[in-house]
Amino acid sequence: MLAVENLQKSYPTAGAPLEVLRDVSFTVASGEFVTVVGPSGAGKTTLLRCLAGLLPRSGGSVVLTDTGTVVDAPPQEIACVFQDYSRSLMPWSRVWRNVELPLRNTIRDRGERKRVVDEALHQVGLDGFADSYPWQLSGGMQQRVAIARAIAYRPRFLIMDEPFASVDAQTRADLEDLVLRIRQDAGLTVLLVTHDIDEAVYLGDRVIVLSSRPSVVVDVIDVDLPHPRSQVNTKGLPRFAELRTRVAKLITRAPVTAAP
Amino acid sequence: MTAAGAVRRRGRALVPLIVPAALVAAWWFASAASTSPYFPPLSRILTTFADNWLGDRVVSDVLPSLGRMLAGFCAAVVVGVGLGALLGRLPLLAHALNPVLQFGRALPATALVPVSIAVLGIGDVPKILLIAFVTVFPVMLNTIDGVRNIDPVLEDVTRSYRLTRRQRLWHVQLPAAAPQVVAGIRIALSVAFVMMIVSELIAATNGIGFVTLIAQQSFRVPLMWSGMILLGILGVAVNVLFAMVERRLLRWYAHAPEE
Amino acid sequence: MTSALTPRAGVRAAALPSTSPDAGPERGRRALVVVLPWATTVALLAVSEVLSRTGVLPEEIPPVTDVLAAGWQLVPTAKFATSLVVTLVQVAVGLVIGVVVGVAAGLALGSVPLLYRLTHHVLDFFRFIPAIVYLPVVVLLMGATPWTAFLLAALGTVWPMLFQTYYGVAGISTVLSDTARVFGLRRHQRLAHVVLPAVSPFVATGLRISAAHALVVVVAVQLITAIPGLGRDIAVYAANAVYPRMYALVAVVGLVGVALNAVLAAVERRSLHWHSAYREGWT
Repeated sequence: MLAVENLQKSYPTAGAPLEVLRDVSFTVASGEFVTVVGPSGAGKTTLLRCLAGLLPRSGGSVVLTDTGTVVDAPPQEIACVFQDYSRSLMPWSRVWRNVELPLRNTIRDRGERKRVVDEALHQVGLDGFADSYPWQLSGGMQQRVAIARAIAYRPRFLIMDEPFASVDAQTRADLEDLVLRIRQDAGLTVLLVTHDIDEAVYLGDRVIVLSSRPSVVVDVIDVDLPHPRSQVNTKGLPRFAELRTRVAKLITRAPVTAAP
Repeated sequence: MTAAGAVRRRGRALVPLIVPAALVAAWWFASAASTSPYFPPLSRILTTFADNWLGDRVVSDVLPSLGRMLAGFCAAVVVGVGLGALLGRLPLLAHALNPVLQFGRALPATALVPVSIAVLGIGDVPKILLIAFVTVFPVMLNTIDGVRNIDPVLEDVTRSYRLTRRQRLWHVQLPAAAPQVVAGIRIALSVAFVMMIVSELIAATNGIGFVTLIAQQSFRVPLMWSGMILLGILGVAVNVLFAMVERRLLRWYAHAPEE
Repeated sequence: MTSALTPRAGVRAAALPSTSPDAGPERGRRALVVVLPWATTVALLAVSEVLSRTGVLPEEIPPVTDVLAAGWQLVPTAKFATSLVVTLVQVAVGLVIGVVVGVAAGLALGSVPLLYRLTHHVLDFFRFIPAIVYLPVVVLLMGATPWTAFLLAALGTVWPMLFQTYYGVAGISTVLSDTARVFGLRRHQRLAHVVLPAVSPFVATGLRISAAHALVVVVAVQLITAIPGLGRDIAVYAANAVYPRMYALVAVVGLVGVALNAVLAAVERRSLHWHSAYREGWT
């Protein structure tokens, strides 16, 4: 579904250019849930923005293989959920308006839009909050609004940038399961960036491990844990601990590729 | 709420009035026996106030003053927000015009009054144009600032969800800029008020400031004081009204996430 | 002065999309950015010049070159120097009086909450009355003397200074002041080491705002009462239709405003820079 080949990204600075991504290559199959982990400063957010078409690449390619579209600008098929949910929602608009706004370009009929919005809010468990303002909601609920907005958009590919980093552990567990459920129901392909190894293994079908800057793909690990995943059961499996340790080792050992 | 509680609550609401009331009372009694030409008894000032500013002068002076100020102010807000939004989205142009804009803001507006009289003369239109010209700068500069500084996360959201330019402007950029714009408009309001007074103190044929100054020059001191009191009340009233509007418009801002 | 292209703290590097790491075009672009505003300003003045010379603009708006020439002749004269100094003195005296009274009152209000609770409704009322409103009675009492200017400039200064100082004092975290007391700092030490540093950025901001007000008020007083100063000179030239000189003086007054703002903004930035470093350590 998505093919990333030799993705490279450098930023010009006052001195030598800062190379954040050196050579990142991987693919994502349709319907897969791929998680990306790496040490701090590994350029995970940069990678995500390149994939979403928000950041021009310095080299390499990002292609949506089904249509052959090269991602140079935000494509129709991709929806994003950002880490800083409170800043990604419009505080001057109510929840339903936040979810509805992106739909105005794809769904002409107002009634149809309302139906889609209501359904999305229902899927994330926010029935009855359509008329609230984002700032009246808790952090976890705000992130649900952002997720509702993403799924209402009917994307084929959902990209999430450390979406649960800023919420407490209990809320994070709920939101992780929510995303798994949504992926199941809507048949979405998901790419989720996180620094939390447990989360990466719990959610992913495959885990991509990035090195620190300048980043390359260190390894791709298949997660052969059973579906449906469960916070209590899955995380109690010995296989979970094995995979987790393997990822952790890769990250701590991740070669710091020195700048030339 | 108990009866006692209700009484206590109403009592507490009156507390803010105690000190002002005491001051007014002090003024009243201190000046009651006054023979000083500069500080007539407050009672006389208040009767003069009622005779003049609640009588004929409403039409002959108060309305023209306020009318000029509001006309200039509204014109400045419309032009300032419009141009400011445009320049906010064209950063290169805003940068190119920056010296001109900063100079316009830093220039003491009162220095322009003789220029306005020289070029346009004495009359309503020149005053309105002067007020508008001076007032446009804070509005425009604040609007540029507000439109420019949209949260980068929101920028990402609008781009990734492929909102049209019009949608971005209307639904994201202008509301996001609103606090800054409104702050600029608040400044503009006080500037317009000051310019209204100053233009009338320098060269006018009617208006509150005009009447007050003439009263001072012809030694009609109670009328002078009453005019000053009216101007003071108007200055406060205008600000208070605006604060109410602002609170309503920016209900959400108090809760917006800090940058 | 900040402008549209000055990078703001927090804006990510990706804001200006640039994929090529070349240094050459980058430096050329940066030079263009610096030159552009001044080039535009000169261009606008040139347009104005052309419009004046071709008679499109009325004769009350003389050509830019005439204004520049008038300025060139005017500035070196003793008369101009006197007017400039007199005006600056009026601003300075008004500022000093206003700052002393305003800061003292603000400190008092901030330290004694009861005082603030009693008076703040009255203060909120007076803060919205522009200084110019008091002009008739001050002229009546003081006559057409520089004291009118001093007093009115002070009246314009005292309110921003009072409130800014108050906000500064009121904003001192109770943790900090409690800590100071627990460590046995005496009153004057607390003043020097806790209160003044916390208040200084607010005072600096207030000073910048007040100086602008003071200049506006002083020029207005000179225009209305004809006391000596740049304002009066402008009025005289206007009355006698000596327009190039009038515009030259207006430009000078504008430059004074710009300079005052720039200097005080720099002072403010320096005190704020210290303040934010201080705040980061203490939330």
